[in-house]
Amino acid sequence: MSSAIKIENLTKIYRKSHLGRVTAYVGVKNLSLEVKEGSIYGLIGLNGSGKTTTIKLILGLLFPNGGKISLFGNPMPDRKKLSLVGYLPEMPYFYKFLTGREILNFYAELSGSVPAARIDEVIKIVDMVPNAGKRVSEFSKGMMQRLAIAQSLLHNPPLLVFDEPVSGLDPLAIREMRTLILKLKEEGKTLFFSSHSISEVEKICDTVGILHKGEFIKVVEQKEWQEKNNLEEIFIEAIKDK
Amino acid sequence: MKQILSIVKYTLRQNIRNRVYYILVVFAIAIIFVTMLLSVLGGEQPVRILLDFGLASIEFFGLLLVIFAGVSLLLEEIESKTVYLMLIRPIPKWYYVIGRYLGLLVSVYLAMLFMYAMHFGMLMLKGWVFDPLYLIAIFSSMTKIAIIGALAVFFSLFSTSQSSSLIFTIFIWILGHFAQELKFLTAKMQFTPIKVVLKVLYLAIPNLQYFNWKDFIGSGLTISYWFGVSVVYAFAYCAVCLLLSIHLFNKKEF
Amino acid sequence: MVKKTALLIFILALAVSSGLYLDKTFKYPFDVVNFSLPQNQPPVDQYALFDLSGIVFGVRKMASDIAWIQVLQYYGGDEEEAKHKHDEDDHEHCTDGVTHGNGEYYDLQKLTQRVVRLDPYFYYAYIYGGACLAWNLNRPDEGIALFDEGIKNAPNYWQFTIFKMAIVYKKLDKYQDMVGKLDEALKYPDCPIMVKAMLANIYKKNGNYVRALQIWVGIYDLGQTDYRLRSEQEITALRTMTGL
Repeated sequence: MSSAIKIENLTKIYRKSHLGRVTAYVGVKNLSLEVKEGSIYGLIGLNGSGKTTTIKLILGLLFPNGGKISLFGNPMPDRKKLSLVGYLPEMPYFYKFLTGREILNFYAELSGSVPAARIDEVIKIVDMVPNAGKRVSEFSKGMMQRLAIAQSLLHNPPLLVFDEPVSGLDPLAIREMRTLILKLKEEGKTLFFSSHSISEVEKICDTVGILHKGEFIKVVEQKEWQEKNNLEEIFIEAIKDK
Repeated sequence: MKQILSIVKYTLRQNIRNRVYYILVVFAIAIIFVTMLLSVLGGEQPVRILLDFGLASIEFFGLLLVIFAGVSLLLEEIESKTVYLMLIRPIPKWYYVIGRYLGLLVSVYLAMLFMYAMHFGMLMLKGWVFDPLYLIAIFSSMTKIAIIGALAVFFSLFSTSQSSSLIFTIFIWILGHFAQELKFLTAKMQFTPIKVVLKVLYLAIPNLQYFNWKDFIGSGLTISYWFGVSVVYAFAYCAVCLLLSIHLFNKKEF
Repeated sequence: MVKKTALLIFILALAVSSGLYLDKTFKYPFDVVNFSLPQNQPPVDQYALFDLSGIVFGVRKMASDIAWIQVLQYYGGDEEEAKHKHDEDDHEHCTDGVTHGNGEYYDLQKLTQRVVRLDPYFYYAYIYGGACLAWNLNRPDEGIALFDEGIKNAPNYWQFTIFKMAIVYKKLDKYQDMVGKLDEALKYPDCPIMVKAMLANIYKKNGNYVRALQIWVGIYDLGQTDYRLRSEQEITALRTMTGL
């Protein structure tokens, strides 16, 4: 199986300058991981461990200080290759004066070659039909999340990158998200997401990567947490030693 | 290029639905009506008063719109993270900057043209004889707005603070109209280092007097081929500001 | 990267070259004033900051219009020092026959100068202010000074020379030459109604009722102006005097 995402020795150092003093802190350091095509990969870690940094580096929102990233064998950054990725940010924000449908139309036009029927299709997939005509300013958190998922699916990308997809969702919405992720996997998509919720991760992931203080400390296959300990214990064990 | 047009279209849609935009436009229309009343105070010169006040008010409101919208155009999106979902599309980043800028201009121009149409109607009611320089005055005001808009976008990315961008942009607006006086001062200056600084400042700031045709109506200043060069100057100045903005935006991390 | 740098250099070169070209060829219609010289100090100190604001915000004409409204309000209001109340039948103190207030208006020249320094092409202001000063307020030298400034700023605008000559004739008591020049100025379409009314009253005072009547009829035909009521009254009176 080929790689959807391949990261080698990725490093990102944040520098903050204040009154002439420069403070540097590590976002990620020598991070290497590989996400197989057609799999679901979960990236877990404590707050500030570098999960969102990793995702932003993959998508070109941040620039690495060292290392290599490739998507489906294409070296990044390459803005044209972003057509292969659908992204769900941790806290999605949209233009509040536009309606849900207008937002999707807009992103479809930017993505290029998205047929009009696809917009209706994704609206149905995320169960947003009654609210598609409302302005985003009237949306609840759950509806915002649905819209965010919809925009990530518009151009039917082979890779989906979700940052904390269940954060802030109610139990029903979490279940719907889980169902959707599994459905997307069945369609042959690759999913890469970060999460705090170990219980959710262990329900759906094939592989889990553990990040701690910017360093990649362990990769765990599904078999391991299913046969041996549960994932939470593996996680705590892994970070305890660091 | 189609994507740039999409960004322009949705920027326009956003702005038109923004309550602040409406309030400013309604306020500007009210000012035009007040101008009509003020013209009565001008004795035998009501048409002149209506013409001058109207053109100045519309340009002023265009300036307010473009400055306030321009400094927040990209900064607000960056701060609110709305920009993320734009940046992960397979389009060059410069499409975003140019598209948002052009969308901003179209929004402001739409409001200005509406006001100009009302103003024109009022002038005709007052018995004004159409002067083609009126159209030149409109065109040149819009050119000024384009330059100031480009500067507002540049300063917003350069300084990353809305308030300092606002101050810089307004300062350049003032200096741009003061250019001739600045040139005069430079010629009079004896102390060479200050003379050099003033000269550089004079060349760097946009000379907005080239586009102040509303003040030149009746002055006998005629259109000649330098007018075409001034349009090239405006275009080139905006392009420099936007290229620098694009460079800053490309270097930005989110 | 090379393409982007080349594009930036090209556009920068375009901006600089067009800027330098305009710097050399653009003729700014307003003279830059050297405020360090005593003769170039703002004519009215209290409005100096306001006038400067008009220049720096690129709204000279609007600032000039506001200054003009202030002139009309000044000239149209009663001065505090004026002791006598205005009498409907007594127009001896203002030659145009329609009083805009009682007083000497010693600041009228400075206030009008303020208007025309903001907009040197506001020809009406020169004529109105100069004529008021010369004929209504009997200060011909101030009127001449204003027209001299107009001639300096707009040498091709012949009306200023005509008015200046009329004032000179007034000073020399050359009545016929003076009214001849004023009659010439009346032919121009933008001649203030105030000047026409003033000339009509001069003719009337000197016994030329027919010419005075002609001018008042012309003023009446202009429609609803400040002088409409006055023109009706004068036409009635002059028709009685002339039998026309």
